[in-house]
Amino acid sequence: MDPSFFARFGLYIEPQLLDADTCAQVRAAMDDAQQVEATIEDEGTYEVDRSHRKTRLAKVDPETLAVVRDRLNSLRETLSGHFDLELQECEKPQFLVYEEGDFFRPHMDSSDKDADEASGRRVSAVIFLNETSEEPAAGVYGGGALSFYGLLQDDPKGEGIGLPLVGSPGALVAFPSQMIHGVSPVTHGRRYTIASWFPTGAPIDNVWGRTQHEGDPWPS
Amino acid sequence: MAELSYQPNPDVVAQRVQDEVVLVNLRTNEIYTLNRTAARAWELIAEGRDRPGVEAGLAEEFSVDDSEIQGELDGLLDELVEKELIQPA
Repeated sequence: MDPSFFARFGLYIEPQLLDADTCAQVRAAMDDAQQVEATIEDEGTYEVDRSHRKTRLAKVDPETLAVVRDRLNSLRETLSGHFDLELQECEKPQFLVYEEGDFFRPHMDSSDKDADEASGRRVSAVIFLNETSEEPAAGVYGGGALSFYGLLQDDPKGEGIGLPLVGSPGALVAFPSQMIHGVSPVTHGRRYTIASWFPTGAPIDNVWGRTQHEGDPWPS
Repeated sequence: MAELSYQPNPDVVAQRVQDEVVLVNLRTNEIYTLNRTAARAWELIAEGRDRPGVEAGLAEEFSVDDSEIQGELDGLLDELVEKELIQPA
């Protein structure tokens, strides 16, 4: 679905946070950077778990990091108003490279029982850096949909159904960090995105508290 | 339309979002959005109203003449049937 579709559900969409040239520069920086396997947080410890999350973090140069961080923080007040929160500056952005077969199972970025760093996360943000396409071609990727769960609450059959967002290069989507989301396996190409989180010290209103979901199409 | 009464396909999940209704066909994974009037028609169908009942409900709630409602409803029902979102009751 087009990102604007998700605005109906209260998500914040910025269609062009980064222009095409900046997207290209960031992708190049990610390709040039050292890349390490991404971890997941489990009760305060961070570990690689390829059954839950399979992707790599690119350790980009300080200049690229600063550009992206500044652009994200330029939205802080807007996001504070949109989500009615007093958001602080964003966490250090993660530059994520998903190769064919990589994925991130449905998860929350924060929960009301977290007692670690993640407890401060209230709003999550994802920036898309390249095009998606059903057919393989240079610079595009297939699969790798960012799906959101818990949006179909009127009907019990909707539980566990994720709605996929198709992001265009430079677009940002922001959502409550308690909202369950995941990335389906990339079927071809290389998917480039940036993720970050805006914290605040306020208590979490657990509006997205559903945690059970079916894993399809994630591999077992 | 030959049929006078329809019901939502059991494979379809509906979610009202403000003035619209989002439909997800779990069998095809297709997602649709119904505008304000179509959303209300969907809800009347889901309530179990037959075709005349849906027309009456829309006429009551929207300031549109009967012929326009009938035409719009014909098109909507055709499309909902074609997309397998409703079926004869």
